[in-house]
Amino acid sequence: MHTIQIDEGWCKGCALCVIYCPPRALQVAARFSPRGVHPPELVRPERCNGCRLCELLCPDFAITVTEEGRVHA
Amino acid sequence: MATGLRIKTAAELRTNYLRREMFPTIFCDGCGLGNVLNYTLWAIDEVGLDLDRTVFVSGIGCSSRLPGYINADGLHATHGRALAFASGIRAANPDLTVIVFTGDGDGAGIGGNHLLHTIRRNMDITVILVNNFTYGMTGGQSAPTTPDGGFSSTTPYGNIEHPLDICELAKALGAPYVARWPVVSPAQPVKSIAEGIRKRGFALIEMLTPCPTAYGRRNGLKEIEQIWRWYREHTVLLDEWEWVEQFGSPEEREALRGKMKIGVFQDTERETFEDRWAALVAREKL
Repeated sequence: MHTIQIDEGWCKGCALCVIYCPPRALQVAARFSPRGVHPPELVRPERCNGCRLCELLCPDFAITVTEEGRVHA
Repeated sequence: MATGLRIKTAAELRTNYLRREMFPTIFCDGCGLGNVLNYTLWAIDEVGLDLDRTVFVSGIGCSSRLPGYINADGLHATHGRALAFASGIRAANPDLTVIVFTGDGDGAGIGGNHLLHTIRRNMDITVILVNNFTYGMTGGQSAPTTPDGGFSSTTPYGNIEHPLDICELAKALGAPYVARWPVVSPAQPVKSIAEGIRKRGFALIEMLTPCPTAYGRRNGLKEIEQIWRWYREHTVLLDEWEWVEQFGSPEEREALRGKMKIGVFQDTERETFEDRWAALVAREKL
């Protein structure tokens, strides 16, 4: 299972991570971040395969993908 | 060179390379400059550059804000003169690695002459030229690279000038490494920038970067998803382009109009300014 951490001080809510997520595991949140934008959230964690494309495509270095309990150690 | 890239996490890049107090960046939503910074850091990590022996040089413009975010020495030079300052650094201390961030307006418009002569001298510099088709920071004036018919604040009825192909220019001048990639595809630019840094001599990597605020807004590409998709749809790999030109049907050839070639255009060896200078010093016992 993977989780994502969003640095809400750095995220500008451009949603590139949501647009380019290959398994469509992310979604734009309805809530506002302290900066007044809609941050992404991992709504379907079972779909996330940890490809880290969101992390590579984030222009603001705001996403970090973390892996919990790796199956293939 | 190795074909696989080592995965680098954003957290790792943040601690190792970034000036965290400078964040968040000034770039607009949907701008690709943050991605150019991200890919450059990947490439630097791939090459294993020592940031204490690396200097980042930039001119004026959105792209020229990039060295401010990297925790290394940087020089924010005058408009268009980034390459002149970079040449000075290389000439004074050839032990330093010099990476230049410049834009299309800064590097090819206002500093076009410096681009010509730095390539001609073949200084060992890696230039990451961010092409967004416009002068974004000053309000979207037309740049030398604005496509045919492109709308900008100074061409409200469409651009009538022929756009400048920076990569063809660099190729004609004999730059040892010339590549062009859009930011929408991450892996190729990372590899190209790494190859450019490793290359002895002038390396030009042109990055096609969306500018939804200054360019996209006037050209019907205001939405982030839409302008990023435009870059995917309007770029054709060099091999495919050549194949279509040679064997394609008239319809396929017609489809190439208005699109841009991407790929590595030149990868050769050429004697650098530093080599010739060292030889001169040895010969004349200066």
